[in-house]
Parts: sequence; structure tokens; C-alpha cells
Amino acid sequence: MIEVCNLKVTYRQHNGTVPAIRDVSFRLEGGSSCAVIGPSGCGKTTLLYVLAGLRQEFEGEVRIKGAPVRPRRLETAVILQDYGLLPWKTVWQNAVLGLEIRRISRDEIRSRVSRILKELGLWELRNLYPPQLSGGQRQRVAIARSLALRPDVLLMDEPFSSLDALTRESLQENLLQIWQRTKMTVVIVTHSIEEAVFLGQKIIVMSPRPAICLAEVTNKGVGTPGWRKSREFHRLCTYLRELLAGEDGCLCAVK
Amino acid sequence: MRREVGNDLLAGLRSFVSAAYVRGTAIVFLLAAWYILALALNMAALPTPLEAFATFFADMDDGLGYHFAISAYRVVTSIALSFFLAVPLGLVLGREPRFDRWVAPLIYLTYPVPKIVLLPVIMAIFGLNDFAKILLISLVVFFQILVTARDAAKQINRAVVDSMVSLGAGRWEIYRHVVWPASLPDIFTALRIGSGTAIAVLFFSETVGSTQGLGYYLMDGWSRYAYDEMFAGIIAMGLLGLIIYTAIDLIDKKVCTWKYL
Repeated sequence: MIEVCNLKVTYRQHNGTVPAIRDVSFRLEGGSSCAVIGPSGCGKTTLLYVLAGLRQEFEGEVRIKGAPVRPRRLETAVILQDYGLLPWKTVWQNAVLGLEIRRISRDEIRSRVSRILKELGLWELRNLYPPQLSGGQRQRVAIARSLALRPDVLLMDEPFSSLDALTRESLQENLLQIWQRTKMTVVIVTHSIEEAVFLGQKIIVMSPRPAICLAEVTNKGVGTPGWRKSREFHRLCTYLRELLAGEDGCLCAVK
Repeated sequence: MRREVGNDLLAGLRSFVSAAYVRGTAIVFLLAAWYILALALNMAALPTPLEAFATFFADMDDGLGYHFAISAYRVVTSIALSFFLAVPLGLVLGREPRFDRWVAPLIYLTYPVPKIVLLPVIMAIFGLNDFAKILLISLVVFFQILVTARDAAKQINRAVVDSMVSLGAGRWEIYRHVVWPASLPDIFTALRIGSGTAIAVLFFSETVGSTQGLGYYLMDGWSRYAYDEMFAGIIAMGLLGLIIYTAIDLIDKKVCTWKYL
């Protein structure tokens, strides 16, 4: 479904080039979930931008459903960190935006978006503006807007990082249910170890800049009942924590 | 639910009444200051507000109203014209660095030139008609809106645009859904400032070789030592400014609801 092969990204700055991603390769099956974790500024967001087609300057190969990644792939939905919603549009106007751009018929938009807003508990809030919502509600609107597109790939950049712990966990559970129901391929970039273990069937651990793939962890527990409270969950968290904490050593070994 | 609506109405009424109360106090204060100053100076050139307003209302049917309408037409046309020309151009320049690279030096060099000094040139070329006056006012307001719109469009966060692109938006949709609404509050600020400048330029343009408009009415009163008429003209100019300013405010509140939550 998603194939990344020898991805290398460099940023041009005033004084030469800065490597952001040195060498990253992975493969995701259709309908699977993947968490990308790494320290801040390690190029996780850059990776997401590449997958989203928002950044086209890179070396290596990136394919989605066999086709080279390109901008404005209509079946890819993206939720960016903080700037997803337009403050001058109401919840409803934000939620229908992607469908309006796709020139979907008005009746279809109304029925699709009403259903999704009701499912996510946003129907009563549809005439409010984003600044009038709580952080969690705002993220739910962003999710609603993405789901309305009926995507086969959902890319999220630290979607829940600015939320309080309880809201974050309940939204993670929402997302898990949505993923299990829709069978989209979900890629979530995060710096939270618990979030990665809770949501990612595959966890890709990245090193600090320039990023390489430190480890690719298979995580079979995702979606099983009581996963967050299980011993295996905590064991995996500890393992990742050690991996991330010891990354300097790893890097030296690689060099 | 009904109770909430009632509360909303009541709260709205209360805030309206208190705003009117504050505004009323400000007006009374200004008039009182004027009145005291007029009494203290005791000069013909500074009539009391009572005399000035008496002439204002008396003359409104007899000439002043006509001059008011002419001036309003000139200044509103100029503001509208500059708005419709400067906003699209400014937004495009802000978003398309390729164009801005070539146009920016032009703006940089022409913006600081006080356009009012072009008054004789424009009058010499186009004559003393409405067109010349509207052109001069538009020239001033155009630049103010252009520069503001360009800078507002330039400052739009990359991430907002990225998230629109990820939704599948093309260039036109980004203008429509992001660039235009994001720049509107700044454009309204430019309009408010521009409306003040526009009336100042209007006054100048109407004092040169003119027989119509508030500027003419005011200077005509001055030349005939009819100070009450001169002040009636000043009141009319102030009123014109106030009406335009309030109109811009109302449209702003209506269009940019999200800014005033």
C-alpha cells in the first residue's frame, strides 16, 4: 500500500543544505496502522509531508498503491498539527471544505457530513467557529473533515499532542474505532510513546536529524481489548523508551 | 431555549444601551468643550456649536445637502474603486513572489511620494471635473489598501496553505478559502484609515477651482466671513467621515464575524 524506499530529504537554507532525512525505508500493508516516533525535530513531519505529496523534493522512491506519490491525491487525507481548521469558517463549513473542493453534489455533502458530525458528537456545534471549541472538539472536527473525504490513507501529524491526557486517550480510542471500521491505512506521527504503542501496528523509530530508521517494531496488540492496561503494552513502551534514550549510542554505532 | 433567546436579547439591548450611553457622553463632552472654548475666545471665527448647528440644519435644504451629496459621491466612489483595484492586485502580489519581485520596487518608490502633490498635474491633464478628483483620492487610498493587502497575504501561515493543498485545493480555491478571508481584517483596517485620508484629499481637491462639494462650501463660507457656514461645512465633513467609518465598521462586523467572537 505505502512503500518508502531509501528516502532522503535535504533542506536548502541560506548557507548550504541541511539533511533532514538520511535514509528511511519501510512498507505498510493496506488497512494497517503505523506510528512514526522520534525526538522533536527529527524529520517526522518532513516524512509526513512527503507521504502527503506536500513536499516533492526528495530522493528515493515513495509509492502509494503502486503509484509514485503526487500532490493532491484525492484519496489521501491529512491532518496537520495545529493549522488544520480555518478560523473564519464554522465547524460545518470546515467539515464540508474538502468535499466542496472535490465538487461533490450538495445533497451528497449534506448527508455525508451530517452523519459524520453526529457520529463524532459535533452536530450541536456545527455553527460555532473553531476558537469557540475546546482542543479536543477541534481535533474531532479535523477528523470529521478527513473522514468526509472517504480516504484510503489517513496521515496525521501529532494530532493529539496539545490535548490533556484524558481527552487525548478518548480521542485515541475514537481514532482506533474509526480505523477498525473503515480499514484505512493510518500513519500517525507522534512523540508520545504510549500513543505509538496504542495505535501503531507497526512502529517506526527514527533517530535525531538526519533521520534514519532506528527500528521497525511490529505491534500485534493494537485494537485488542484492554490493550492499554496490559503488561505487554507497558513492556513495549519500556522497550521503545530505552531505544529512544539510547539513540545516541545507536547513532555512533551506525556512523 | 426560549429563556436563552430572551437573555440574549436582553444582553444585546443592554450592551447597545451602554454603548449609546458612552457615545452620548463623548458627544456631550466634545460639544461642551467647543462651547466653552467659543465663549472663552469670543471671536467671530469660532461660533458656538449652537450657531454652527443652527446654520447646518438650516442650510441642509438650501445647498449644503447638495454639496454633501456631491462630496459623498466622490469619496465613496474613490474608496470603492481603490478597493476593487487594490485588493486583488495586493493579494496576488502577496502570494506570487515572481510578480512581487518586479512590482515591489515600483511600489517602494511610489508609495512614499505624497500623492496630493500630483493635484496640479492631474487637474492640468484631466481638468476640474469629478474624474480628476476621484482619480486623485483613489490614488492615495489605492496604495494604502494595496500595501496592506499584499503584506497580509504574505503573512499567511504556510501550514494553513499546506492543509488546504492536502484537501485538494488548487490555486483559486486557496485564494477563495484562505487568502481572501485571512486578509480581510487587515483590509478593513486599511479601509478605515484610508477613509480618513480620502476625506482629507477630497477637501483639498474641492478647494481648487471648484464650485461644488463640501470643500468648496467651506472655503466659500470662509472667504465671505460667513463663519457659521464654514462650521456647518466642517460639521458636514465630520458627519460624512463618521457615516463612512461606521459603515465600514458594520460591514466588518458582518463579514468577519469570526474575528469578534
